[in-house]
Amino acid sequence: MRKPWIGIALRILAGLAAAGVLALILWLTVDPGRDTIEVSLGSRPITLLEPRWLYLIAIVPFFFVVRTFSLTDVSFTQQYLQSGLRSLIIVGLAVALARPAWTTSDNKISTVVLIDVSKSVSDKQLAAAQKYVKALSDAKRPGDDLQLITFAERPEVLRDLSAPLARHEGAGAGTNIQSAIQLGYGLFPDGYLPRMVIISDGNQTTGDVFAEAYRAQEFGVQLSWRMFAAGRTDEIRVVAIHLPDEVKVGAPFDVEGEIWSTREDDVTLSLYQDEFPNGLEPSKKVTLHEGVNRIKFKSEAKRAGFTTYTMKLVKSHHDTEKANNTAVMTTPVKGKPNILYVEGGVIRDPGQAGYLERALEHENMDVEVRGPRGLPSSAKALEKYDLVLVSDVPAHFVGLGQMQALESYVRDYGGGLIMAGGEDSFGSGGYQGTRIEKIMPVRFDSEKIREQPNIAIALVIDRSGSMSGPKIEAAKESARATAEVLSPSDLISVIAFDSQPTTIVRLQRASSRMRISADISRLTAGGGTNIHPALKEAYDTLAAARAKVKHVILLSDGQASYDGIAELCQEMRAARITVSAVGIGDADRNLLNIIADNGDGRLYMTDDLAALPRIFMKETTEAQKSALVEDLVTAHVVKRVEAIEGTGVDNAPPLHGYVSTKPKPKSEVILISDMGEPLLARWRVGIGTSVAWTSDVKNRWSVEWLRWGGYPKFWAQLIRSSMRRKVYDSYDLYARVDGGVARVMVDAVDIDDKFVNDLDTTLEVIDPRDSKVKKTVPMEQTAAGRYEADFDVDRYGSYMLKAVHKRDGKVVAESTGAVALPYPAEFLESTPDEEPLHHAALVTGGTDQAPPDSVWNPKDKKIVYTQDLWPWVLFFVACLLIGDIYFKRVRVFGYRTIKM
Amino acid sequence: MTFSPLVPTTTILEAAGVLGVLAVGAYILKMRRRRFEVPFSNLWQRVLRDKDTTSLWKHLRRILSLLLQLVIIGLLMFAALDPKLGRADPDAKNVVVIIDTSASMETVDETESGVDGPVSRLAVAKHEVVKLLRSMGGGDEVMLMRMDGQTTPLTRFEADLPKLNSVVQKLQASDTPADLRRALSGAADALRGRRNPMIVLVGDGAYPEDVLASVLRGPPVAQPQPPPAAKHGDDASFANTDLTAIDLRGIDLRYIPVGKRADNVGIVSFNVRRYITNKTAYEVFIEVQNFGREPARRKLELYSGDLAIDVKELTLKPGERKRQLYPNLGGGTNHRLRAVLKTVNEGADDKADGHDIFALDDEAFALLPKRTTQKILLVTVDNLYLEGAMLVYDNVGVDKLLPEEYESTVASGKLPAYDAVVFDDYTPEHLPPDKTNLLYFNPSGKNSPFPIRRTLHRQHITEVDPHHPVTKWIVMSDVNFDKSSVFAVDRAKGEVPLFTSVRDAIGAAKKDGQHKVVAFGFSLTGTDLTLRVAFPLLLANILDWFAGDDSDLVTTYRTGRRLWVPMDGTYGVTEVAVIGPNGRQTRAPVVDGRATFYGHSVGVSRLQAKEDGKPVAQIELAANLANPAESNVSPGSPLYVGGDTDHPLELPSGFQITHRQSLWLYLVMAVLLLLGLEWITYNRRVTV
Repeated sequence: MRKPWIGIALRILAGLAAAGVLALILWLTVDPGRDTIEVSLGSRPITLLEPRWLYLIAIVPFFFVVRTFSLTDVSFTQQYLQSGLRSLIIVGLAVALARPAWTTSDNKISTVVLIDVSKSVSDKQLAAAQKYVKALSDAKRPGDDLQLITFAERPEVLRDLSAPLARHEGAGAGTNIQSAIQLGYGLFPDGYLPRMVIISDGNQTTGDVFAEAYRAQEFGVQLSWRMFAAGRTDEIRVVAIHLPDEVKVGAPFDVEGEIWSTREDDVTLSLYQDEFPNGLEPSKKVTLHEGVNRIKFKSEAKRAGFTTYTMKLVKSHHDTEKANNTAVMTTPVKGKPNILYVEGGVIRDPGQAGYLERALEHENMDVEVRGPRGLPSSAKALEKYDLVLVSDVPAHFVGLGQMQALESYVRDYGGGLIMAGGEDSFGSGGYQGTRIEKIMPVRFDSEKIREQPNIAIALVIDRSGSMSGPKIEAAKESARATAEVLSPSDLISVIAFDSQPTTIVRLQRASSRMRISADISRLTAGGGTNIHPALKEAYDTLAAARAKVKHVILLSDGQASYDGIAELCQEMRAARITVSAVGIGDADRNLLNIIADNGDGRLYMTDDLAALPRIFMKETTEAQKSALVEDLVTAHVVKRVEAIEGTGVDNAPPLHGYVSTKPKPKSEVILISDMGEPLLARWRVGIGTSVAWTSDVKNRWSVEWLRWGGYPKFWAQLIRSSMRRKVYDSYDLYARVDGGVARVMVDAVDIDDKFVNDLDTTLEVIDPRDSKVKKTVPMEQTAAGRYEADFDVDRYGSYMLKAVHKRDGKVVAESTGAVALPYPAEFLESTPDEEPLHHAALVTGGTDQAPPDSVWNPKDKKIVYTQDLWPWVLFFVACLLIGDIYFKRVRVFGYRTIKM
Repeated sequence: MTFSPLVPTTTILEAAGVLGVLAVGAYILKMRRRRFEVPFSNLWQRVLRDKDTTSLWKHLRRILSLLLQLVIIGLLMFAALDPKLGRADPDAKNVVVIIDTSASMETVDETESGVDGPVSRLAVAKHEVVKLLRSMGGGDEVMLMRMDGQTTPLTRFEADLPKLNSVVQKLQASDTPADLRRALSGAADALRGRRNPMIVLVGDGAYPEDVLASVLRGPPVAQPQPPPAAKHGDDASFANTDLTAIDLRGIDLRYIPVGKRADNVGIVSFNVRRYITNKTAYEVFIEVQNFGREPARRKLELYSGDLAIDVKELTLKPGERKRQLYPNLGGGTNHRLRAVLKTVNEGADDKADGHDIFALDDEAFALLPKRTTQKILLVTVDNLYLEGAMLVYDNVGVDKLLPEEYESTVASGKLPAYDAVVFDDYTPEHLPPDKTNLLYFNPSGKNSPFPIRRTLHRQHITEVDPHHPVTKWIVMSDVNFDKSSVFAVDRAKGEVPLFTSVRDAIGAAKKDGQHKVVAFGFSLTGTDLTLRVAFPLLLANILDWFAGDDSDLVTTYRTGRRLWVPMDGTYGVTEVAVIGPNGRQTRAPVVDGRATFYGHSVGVSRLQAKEDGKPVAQIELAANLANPAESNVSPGSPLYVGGDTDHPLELPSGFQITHRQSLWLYLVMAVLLLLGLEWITYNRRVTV
């Protein structure tokens, strides 16, 4: 007898085999593994979006296998038909899961309402928009879809349709209808006629609804629009400043402000030139009429370079938006040489800069006078000057960064530098060994060809605990620098003090520099502060020395007892020993002042440790006075150059002194003193020129020159021959802001009207607020003689533009211009602009001022879309299931006898 | 739970009711008993024994069977309602997938696993996107966004993978460069307010450094609040706004890199320009760059129409850019120029000899502005200066009338159509028909084209507008005149002073509705202008401006930009037809006499203006990719944004394996299971 499980196993195996065969047939015929399958059914192809589910059909044999175990008494025919029907149901479910879809059409409408909530839209308009949305919602047909986007500079989907419309506070000022439309494309559900209604005043700041309308038309999106009355809002805008194409120094010109007003109003406008009120007309009271007003201000540029004009509406009666009351524009100014004159003497007498300043201005030059601390610290900041004249500025007022900037300005930027003499210039100003000496045509260590006073100098250095670290190191460095400055025959002593004085370097000749330096190295910090014993020690040391000049330099950073100090200093002074004091950090200024005052010396207070060695050097040189020649000297011409031609310098009155220097080998010495030392020397440094004028420019040594008629001419010619030469061509530069991007173009055409090609051009974008280059953009050549560059405008305001054209690494031309985006364009327009919206509606078949009913009117239009059919397949399957039930409950083909 | 039925809900409910009744009806039917073949002796015993005990069970089995059937029908109908889980998975992400479809994605450079053969980067990107979509959880929702020169959302936020997949497969690359800034901003807009936002960028990374650097990343920030005093109308604080920043704070930015090779050589610039003084000659400018890391050789061919005018072999070092200038070209009638980069050895597989992975920049187009012959009428009483100067201009046909002849001809309506009329020392009562451009010397009286304010005597020109096409490139300063009218020029109406004598306008120009007008306040007989070389050049400039042949005009553009094309000679036209290089026709609006549209395609397009259905003007323009950043197809991976050079953008991850929110699929699976169960129980008589 056959075992029953074998039969079961055999039937299951047969079922599995049949399932496998069925799966194979499916794979060979329709390949359900593909992404989609298209089945053609007449004119309406059906696409199966997930055909992999068709493999489910392979389970159909399972139902036939189960049938073989059936205990039902219906006939075999009915059983097979039942199995067949059940298989059909399974196939139906597999087809449903395979996601059949076909192309169909419908007239349901999906409307995305784009609501402008930018600043140019009034609250009243927003309230009207809210009502409109409510009306739209009420008017929609069953099945229609309504969605909202609010937009200003950026769009935002509003999910709660009943929520009050809110502005995009803090998200920038602007109106970009185009980006709202683009976001709206992603909101339309399938199977709906896509429509948009734009509720806006039509004023775009970025984007282009005009052009987007054509894309919307391609996508089948109908754009309608609605605009609500704003209610009368009084508004005045300063739209722009118009400047002449060419502005020259000293030539008056008109600055024209473009002002737009909604009504007649008496207003006050102010004009600023850079940050100062416009000299010729700082403000104006005018009566504006409705519409565009052009208000002219007389102005005059005082210096060459860039000048920024700012026009402000400062007083009005009928204005709402304040953000659009200021316009700004920068213009390049051509003309007079621009000289930076840094005069150290103004500290002692503010009028000391006036002599040369007046002379140069008389010679039609722009002179900017600054005090000794006024040297800019970057070469870029210096670049706007054609020449820098440094007169009588002690080195300790000039930081390392400023020296470096001066060097770079001359060497790399082609600037001119003149160092004029004085008691604080050249070597006597403490510049020995600095970068400035390096670029000057003369050396500052003068030869001792005159009677030289021997000097004995004592450095009294505070080594208390508070001096530890960088301070003591700076003190050591200063002591070494002092030894360097001294002549070999001079005497030096270094006394350190805390509570008690200690002689670090006994009084000896400065020629033993190595030993002195080694001794100084032993200096360490620690202990209290007691100045009196140390000064006494120095006094005793110097009193015994044989020297014409005896000087003490005291360095301290702390507090000490006043007892007996003043008296001691007076005593030293009586013994022809002078005392200067240098205070660092929290030093007791009062005490040090008493010391310097009574000791007939000078007081220096500084927080800059780096400046300390220069102060010591300066102080030592001051004490030496060896570099200064204070006698009547006549200038002798040793080389006739164009710079002095026609100035009559041969017959100039004598000078009363100069700083002794020594010419460098390749320098060009033009004037010398009676002793053969250079008075005027120059040479090239990099692409610039540096000039040494060892006498002064004011009423100490040049007192007779000031009265000499040739003085202005001499200086004007000297400056003109030394300043940066603009040998470059200049090409036209055009710039405009387009959608947040500045597009800059240079047309390089030479004087023969030929295109200039093969230039290596870079565009420098300069922020006029600090004259710094914000970015450098390469300009691509795009056609013969044409160079273009774009850059993103990253802030509101004006930019100065400078295109530098190079060939073979050398600058051959420059182009300048400016571009401005004074404030968000949102504040530029407040008059509704229907034109772009009307055009968009025209192009896409939308409606102007769309009433709510019209938005939901399909007008015989239908959307063709891909519709999912799986629900219908499920219906079909459910119907088959009813048939299946009846086929089980109703015996159709008689009985089958069941054997017990 | 929410429902989004594709079939109306009422239909489903009605169908469910009908089907339920039918199913119950089937069970009300009494089925005849089964016939058993049993031994006779047991028959009565069995029948009598089971009668009481089985009747209840039989009822129960029938009810169970009915319930099962009703459950199956119910599940099917419920599935047809397309139910979705009402509460979203809190870990589910909202993802915007930005797919780079810019020109560089046409680069064919690699064979990827899962992608057959060498394919374009876009094909690989599609493959990657499909992989990404499959890796996402059931609750994640995705918006697909296309990025080229513009940004287009392709879908809503969807979880329907087949639909998303279908959209991905339809993507095609464009001829425009990628605008990453716009795409990222658009994606951030779409994600605003959505939970767990993520942007996945799929592309070759050839994006500008400054755009990448301007991305703001980090944790989300609270919605910026306005300062307390700031309300509508107050002075807004915008001075320190960084206009270039792309704020992606709070959004997880990921990147899927595509692309491998970099060995592209392309034409990065191609243009042509007529000379300023000699309009019959022109200069061609071509720039070719090797973006690869190996030296490359190419053949550069330059065509005028179909005629090859130059063939050059170029050898370029890695990264080298070579400029080719063709000066003083002229002659020929064809104004279309084409530059083509070709392989040195046809069929060579060697990269150096020309196998190029990016074809779009191997061909470029340029057009010479067409020269139109103008018909000019001089209304003058013999002026040799004027007539002589006109002879210099080669593209005019000149007629002459005396002023009185002119008036009578105009009055009789017999004046032929002229492109321009020059009124010399004479101001007409009647103007020629519209569309005729006008040039006046010494106009007077109320018919002057610009109102006359006063008269200047013995002055000279002090300033010249260097930007206007009429006065550009011309040195006019110190030109003397014995007397001149001073025009009242209204800038608000678009009127422009061309020359001034100490700010008094003595020469002006305007576009006045249907024509262009230039006027000089002085007579040609009372100035030394006519003796200067600038005079014929000035006349040439004026006639060029009338003809729309501006010396600055370059009719070659870049794709991916909004183009503004002057439509000279068309008046009152608000729209033009744009016929692209592939014959596809679109429309473009005309604003202020310039057609504006987006440059989609590389090649030569035509702009046709029509009035009353008739073409009145046609302009051709050439567009090239001409974008070194886009031609540099070197893949950018890793990609750093926001200046963070330590942390490159990562591949997308972190998707949770969650159930699909849409439940119909699970319901149908349950129906399948129940059908199997029901089939077994029915056949084994567990249910009847």
